[in-house]
Amino acid sequence: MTQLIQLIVNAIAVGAIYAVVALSFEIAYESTGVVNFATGQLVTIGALLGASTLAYSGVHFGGSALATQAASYAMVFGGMAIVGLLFFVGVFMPLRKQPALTVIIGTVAIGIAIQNLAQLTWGSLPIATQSPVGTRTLDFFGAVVSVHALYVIVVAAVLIAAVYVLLYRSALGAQFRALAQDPEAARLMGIRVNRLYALTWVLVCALAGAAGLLLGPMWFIDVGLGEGIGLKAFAAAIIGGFGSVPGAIVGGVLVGLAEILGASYISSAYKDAIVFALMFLFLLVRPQGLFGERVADRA
Amino acid sequence: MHHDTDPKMSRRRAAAALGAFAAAPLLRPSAAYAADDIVVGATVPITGTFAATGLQYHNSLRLAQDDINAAGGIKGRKLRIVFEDTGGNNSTAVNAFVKLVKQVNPPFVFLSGLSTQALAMEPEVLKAKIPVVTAGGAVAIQERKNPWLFRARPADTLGAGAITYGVIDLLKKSKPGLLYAQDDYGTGAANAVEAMLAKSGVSVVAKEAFNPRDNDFSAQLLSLKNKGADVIVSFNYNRDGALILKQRKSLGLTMPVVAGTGMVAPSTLDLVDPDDLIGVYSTADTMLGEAVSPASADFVRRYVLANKARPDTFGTAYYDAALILAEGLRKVGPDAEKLRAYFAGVKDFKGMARNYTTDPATNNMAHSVVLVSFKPGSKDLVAAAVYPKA
Amino acid sequence: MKATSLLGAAILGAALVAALAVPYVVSDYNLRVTVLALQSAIAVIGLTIAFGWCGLIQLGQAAFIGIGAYTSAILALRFGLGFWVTMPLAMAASALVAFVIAVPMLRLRGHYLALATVGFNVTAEIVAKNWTAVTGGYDGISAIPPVTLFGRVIETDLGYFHLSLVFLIAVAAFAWTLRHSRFGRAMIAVRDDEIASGTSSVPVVRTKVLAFVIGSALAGLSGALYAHYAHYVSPGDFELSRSITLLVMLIAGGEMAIAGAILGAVLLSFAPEWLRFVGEAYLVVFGVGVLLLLILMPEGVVGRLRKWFAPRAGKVGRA
Repeated sequence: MTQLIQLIVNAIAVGAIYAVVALSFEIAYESTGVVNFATGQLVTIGALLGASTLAYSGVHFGGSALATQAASYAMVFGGMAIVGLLFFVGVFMPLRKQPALTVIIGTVAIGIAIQNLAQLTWGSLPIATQSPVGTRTLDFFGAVVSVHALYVIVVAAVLIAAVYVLLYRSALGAQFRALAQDPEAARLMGIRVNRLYALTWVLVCALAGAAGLLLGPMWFIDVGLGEGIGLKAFAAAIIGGFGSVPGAIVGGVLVGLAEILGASYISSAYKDAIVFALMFLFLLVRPQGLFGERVADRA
Repeated sequence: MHHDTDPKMSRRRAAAALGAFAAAPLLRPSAAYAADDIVVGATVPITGTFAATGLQYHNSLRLAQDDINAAGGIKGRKLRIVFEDTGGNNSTAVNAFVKLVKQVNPPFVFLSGLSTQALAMEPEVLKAKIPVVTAGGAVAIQERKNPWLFRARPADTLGAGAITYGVIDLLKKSKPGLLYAQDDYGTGAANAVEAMLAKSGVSVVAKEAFNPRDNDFSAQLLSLKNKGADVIVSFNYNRDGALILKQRKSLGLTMPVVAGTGMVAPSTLDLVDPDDLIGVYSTADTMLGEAVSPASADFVRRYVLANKARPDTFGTAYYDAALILAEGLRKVGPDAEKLRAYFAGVKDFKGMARNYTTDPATNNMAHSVVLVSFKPGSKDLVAAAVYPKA
Repeated sequence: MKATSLLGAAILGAALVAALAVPYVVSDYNLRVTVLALQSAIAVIGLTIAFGWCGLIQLGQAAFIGIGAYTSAILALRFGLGFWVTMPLAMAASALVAFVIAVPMLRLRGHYLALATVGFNVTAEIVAKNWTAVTGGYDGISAIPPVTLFGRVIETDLGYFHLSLVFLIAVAAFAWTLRHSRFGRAMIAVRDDEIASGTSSVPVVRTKVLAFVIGSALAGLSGALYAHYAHYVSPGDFELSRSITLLVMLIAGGEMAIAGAILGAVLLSFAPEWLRFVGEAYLVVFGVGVLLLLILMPEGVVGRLRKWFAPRAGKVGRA
């Protein structure tokens, strides 16, 4: 029983990260129509930036560990915002009138470039980073649970809630949703469409980067970190349903559970296949996922 | 038609450019080295999953090249090593070797140290008839009985023997659980250990495999615990090894770990904390540095200076192989068959990692390993035993 | 009409002569790259059919190459069967798997179909890496026997060059015939407007499934050729990145034309050699290069050439 608790807590922590990444992926698609296959690499960049800034922020904010972490997070978000703007200008704008496959290949190509730029910059050795909450473990009904796992769940929840509030409870969010619904109508309504697109990409990259920051202390950072994450996040988006924040959460957690419980109780070798089989099943039986809107083909 | 320039001109220009692009790579590539340099090849994982391991011998081979040339080269001629990236998968590795053979035609190649890649390349080595050295430890390598293939590191059977000794005689455990990477290295080593333990009357209670790129090993670790393992025997690479130790600790598992050499690579140890190493033992090829010789200590110092990282025994094996190669080139010249005979006859060659003598039955050149543990509260290695016992 | 087909025939003839001359002007290693390019071209033509003509987003073509390669290798090693038996069986295996997943999967469109094919590719990789008893796991299968023709064993790169060239020509001819058949028109109709063609007499589902199966079978053929040429297959041959490369080959060459598939395969196969001088930054340059290609020349080389030389020769642009 204690083992089950341990596994479930881990699964929810991993699932929370998948949920954040799935959200990044979904927002890119819903708001800009881009199926962003570079999502995983964006997660990696976030993690790597975190590793680097942690090293430097210690110099400026010496004393408090909390201040150091906060400064590091701020620098990472700044960095990811820049990445987002570059993505907007370099990938989205030039390709925005192209058909689906061209855009997909475009994001794959830029993902390849990003991953290898990362290798040239940071090298190939894995990097260990410290969690802001340290390496302590708690006793939870006899199960040993790491504080970082709980921290991940909390931070992810806060992030997702913040995104929800932004999208559904703010004026800016209303504009985002109008844009997603009908870009032409939005333009006619006086919405500054390009500025919104740019902001969207900043948000997409910031979310991916945040996921990378949360992952770093769990799994050691190297340039291959994001590859598998991206694919699982896509599965989470499908299972939870596109266009739905609750969908991202449920999808992410389900993928986390399927992966970790599947590894334990079914087969550790085929655990990833279990996740993709689940995704496949949803695609065949209920493509809109658990919470998504009815599947309407996007032109 | 609305082109900016005269349409006929841009068509022709495009066609010409296309033609030039198409023709250029088909012609023989120009040499990047002087005419009388001696050129040998090296297939190294520079990108991909195993890049961190490959980096160690990419660095050490470059250092070897510089050292050899600084000491006068091969009778005045400079040694040049041409590197090809094997990437993270076997097909790319095979292609890298074939590319070297066809484009550079070297009399010698340093083969990838990943057993799975070395084994994939082995048939091509036989076809090409050039001597190669690998640091891969898999048992399967010597089973191929390829006269051109030499091994500069101890075979995993030696490591298996050391681990068996560690489990039974040192730690006095009787219910080992195996945890291993699901490839030639891990599977071969796990099978070798299982057989050796069985010969001493100890049965393995559980075997769990993993993908080297995995991030979460809790399923495998808990399974080993549930099946009653009182010691974990692990065959891993660096990132996965570090994750295994960390997760073992965070899951609260207390049984000791006896691991293969991947656990003591600097790139693994850099990722863990001293308290992750409590109860952890490992085989190591050798204790580099002072324990071997003053020259070895000097090598370590220079490697750190050049690469801002400590050398591991993998990289050092290649450095030593380069030294042996240089000697061979001086004695018999850049002839593939003569070099092969030279390598087959190596006896008591003093290298930075150990002394090398080629065993004619297996083409293995290294014949001992060390069992190490860690000084409590630190990441310093402490030798627990040498195997086989002298 | 007559003039263009004479011109077309002349170009084909010249291309054939040029192709036969290739082994005598290129270096050893580049001949090997050429053989691999010809084999890839067969798989890319499969994509021309499934995606270029029928509009099915297929990000899992490498999985079908792998199925063909492994099937041929396993049958040859376990049952001692010759290439001329294992190759059609390999194609059949790819076709069968394609058929099984096509029926449920091809109801999806756009990014849903893309993700489904990605999921299939990744799952196939996992199976190849873990089903060690059958596939050899991470270490793959080696010592695959070479092709024997009329009692003679084909051992040299030159021999495989000719073999692959013959297969490529046959596949290209087959694809050309397909394109100019009623089925070919049905595929284009489905791609251009699925809903409209559904209300006319075009059997949409059957067309899509058949296009998908044919594309996959050609991938299987490519895989079988590769297995007996390289004598070694490993899960690396299945990878998702390989599927992406095949699509880039298709788009670079021009997704609507058979010539485009061949040109793209050759261009992309030699790209690592051309970009040698950038050293370790190769993949960065490659990634950015592909992005630029998509921005500046999304219709591919052949598409662009067609626009220049035959701007009124039928609407072949994309919707």
